Amino acid sequence: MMRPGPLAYPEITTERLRLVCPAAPDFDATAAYLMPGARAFVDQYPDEEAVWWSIATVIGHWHLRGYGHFAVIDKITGFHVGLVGPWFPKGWPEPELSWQLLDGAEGKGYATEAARGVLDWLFREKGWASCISLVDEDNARSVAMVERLGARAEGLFEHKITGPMRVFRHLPKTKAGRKLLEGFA
Amino acid sequence: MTTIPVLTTERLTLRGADARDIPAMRDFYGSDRSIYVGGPMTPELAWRQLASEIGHWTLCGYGRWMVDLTETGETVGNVGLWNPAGWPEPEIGWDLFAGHEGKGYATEAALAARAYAYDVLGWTTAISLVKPANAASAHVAGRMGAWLDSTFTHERWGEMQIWRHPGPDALSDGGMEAYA
Amino acid sequence: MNAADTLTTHRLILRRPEPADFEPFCAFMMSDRTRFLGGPKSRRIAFDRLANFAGHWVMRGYGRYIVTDRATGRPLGHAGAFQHDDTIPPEMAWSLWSADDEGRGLAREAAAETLRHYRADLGWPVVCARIHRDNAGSIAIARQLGGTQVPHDEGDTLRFDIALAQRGAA
Repeated sequence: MMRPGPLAYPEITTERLRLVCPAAPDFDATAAYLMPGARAFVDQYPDEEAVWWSIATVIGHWHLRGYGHFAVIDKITGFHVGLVGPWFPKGWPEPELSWQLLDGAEGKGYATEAARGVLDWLFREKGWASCISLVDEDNARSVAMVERLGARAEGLFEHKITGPMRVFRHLPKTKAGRKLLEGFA
Repeated sequence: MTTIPVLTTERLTLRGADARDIPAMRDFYGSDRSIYVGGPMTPELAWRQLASEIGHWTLCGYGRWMVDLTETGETVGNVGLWNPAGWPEPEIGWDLFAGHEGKGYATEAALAARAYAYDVLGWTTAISLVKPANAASAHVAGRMGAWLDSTFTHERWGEMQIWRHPGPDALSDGGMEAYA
Repeated sequence: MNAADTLTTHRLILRRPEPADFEPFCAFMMSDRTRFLGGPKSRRIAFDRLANFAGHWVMRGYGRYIVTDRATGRPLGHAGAFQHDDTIPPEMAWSLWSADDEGRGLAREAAAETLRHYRADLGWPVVCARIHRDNAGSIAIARQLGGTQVPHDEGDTLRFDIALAQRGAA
């Protein structure tokens, strides 16, 4: 039986941030997220076990899909600030650019900067033509962020797990991308 | 991730999980066969279970293998070393998929996993967690020479028996074959 | 930037679909040569598919080329990139419509020329190919073109990614 080739472990660099693949052999996910005293995610998980399973799933997602959430690191301080990337577990309508920030990393534009880097990577390196974000209807902060990223609202998706979500679509900032968007408008 | 090693036994090949295993995991975790291991669950949660099986290898340096019949390539179960957050200590676990019971596959694969834990990873002891009602699983533990040691109550999974395996020293005379 | 309307190789001319391609394309679609694509297909589906080829050029500015014999102009097959699914790279095809034209490397020659164009002229980073696991001939071409298998969970369909551009560090 044929096997998939070895997983590539991409890295993305933005102005302030380094985005690394948490499935890479030299990435210490335990130190980054799972040690006692590690910073918690802003969207609180019920307990440490839930964080462990979530991180294991994030890593396995890379192996099942060939892409996934990047670990986002502040270039200067070396601090982990969160996870940002395309997320497509079973049950999602299509891959979703999503993000989770660690405590204390909010309000600095890290998620927006990392998301820009990831979108650029998806469009320029992975050959994607578009990508969505799903945002909770009431999450004004996330709506503002996807609008800052230039995504266009595209209606609602009834998510089996999280309920109704607003769909925003990101497109490459190229002539072809805009042309496609106008074609569908 | 440490590359997941491939182990072979007389009839079985133990290999790392990948995307081809999604249907088998969906079927197992969607059926009543998974009642002792957190199921039955939706295909969505089974997908995440498979992803976290792979992530377990990255986080712990070991994990569970998909077990294939060497001759046909058919996947018959998921067996190996397990120690997620909240576990009392590192465990040897086995899940057999439907239609493959009664042939000794779980025991054969678990013995290979135990030998790997002792010989390669240097474990000095190992346990297996068995739900009290899961007689088939207790039988596998017994065949491997393990004994009922104590019980453990997991917040979500409830009460489980801890079966303690003979350590590497106890197995060195005659090795694992003595129990096969 | 849009793809070139015409590409020329040693033995082939690749051009956009034309109405006259329908009958030979339909014969291909209704034959067992489409068994790895869920065929044989009906005449109606064949029409839909060729219209799809033509329409994709309008929507995306690139699409499937009809591969023709450079000497005679006879249509031999189709090759080139499609992007139905936004969240995987553009998908390649390389099909010869008749068994009589096999064995001379024509499918590979056509596909290689489109890849050269996508890389050199359009700057594309990557394309993919989704191939039935029993389609050994097509898998061999994917590998010859530099394809590597990537994770994929669509049953009997394997996915190969073909990296086109070697990018430096950002």
